[in-house]
Amino acid sequence: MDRPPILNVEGVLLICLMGDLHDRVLSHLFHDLSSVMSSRRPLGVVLNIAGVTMIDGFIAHRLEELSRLSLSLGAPLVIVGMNAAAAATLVEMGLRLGDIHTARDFERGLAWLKARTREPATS
Amino acid sequence: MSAPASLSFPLVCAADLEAARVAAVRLLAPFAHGPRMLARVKTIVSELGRNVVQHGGGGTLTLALTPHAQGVALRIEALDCGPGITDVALALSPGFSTTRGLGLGLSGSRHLADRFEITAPRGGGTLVTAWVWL
Repeated sequence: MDRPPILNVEGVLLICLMGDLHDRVLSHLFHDLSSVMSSRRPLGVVLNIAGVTMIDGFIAHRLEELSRLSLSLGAPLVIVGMNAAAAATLVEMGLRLGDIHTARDFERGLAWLKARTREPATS
Repeated sequence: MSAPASLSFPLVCAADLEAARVAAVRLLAPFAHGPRMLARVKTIVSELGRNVVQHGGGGTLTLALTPHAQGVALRIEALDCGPGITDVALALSPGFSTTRGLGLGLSGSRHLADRFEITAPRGGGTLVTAWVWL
């Protein structure tokens, strides 16, 4: 899966990543996401990584870039479904995912996105 | 048919890491470890291999099953063709990075491994070795 599909469901972009993430997959995703977001103006992005078995420093960095890209184009990104093995390895390595918002599963991630997009622009 | 005791992979670019990760998982298969151990080993292989490709001008990654006091260990050796690490302590400090990444390649691998060494072989380059008790 070199180019994961980006689905648009009621204004939210859904992306599902599986298996070992190769550099080229993440590179393609960065460019594809920027292109889709420019044309469709989504409310948010849900990135499901439940099927990803390993997250090293490079992958974590690319996920941070995707989150920053999404936010800079006006839509928050939430990562859902990180498995316990990958999460534990990240913690043991001392990695932090910075400002990336994570949720346990798709439903919780979507709920966060909806709550976030309902917030007033100014407070 | 038993798995070979040692496997070597030339590392030139990041795409070469894939074969090494797959081989590591196959070597672990007879030990029936869960996803936690698989993630740990694949991450070490990936971090050490990426270090060879990005900083060392390419090299070789070798996987071997070796005996140790409590049973069997997986030894992961990453040998690069670079000029060597001038400041090992700095390279092992969290946040140290000269390329894209979160700067935790060597220090993160050290935390994941049961034993970790950095040496300078006589033939040149840097040899990073990590052991994981199986």
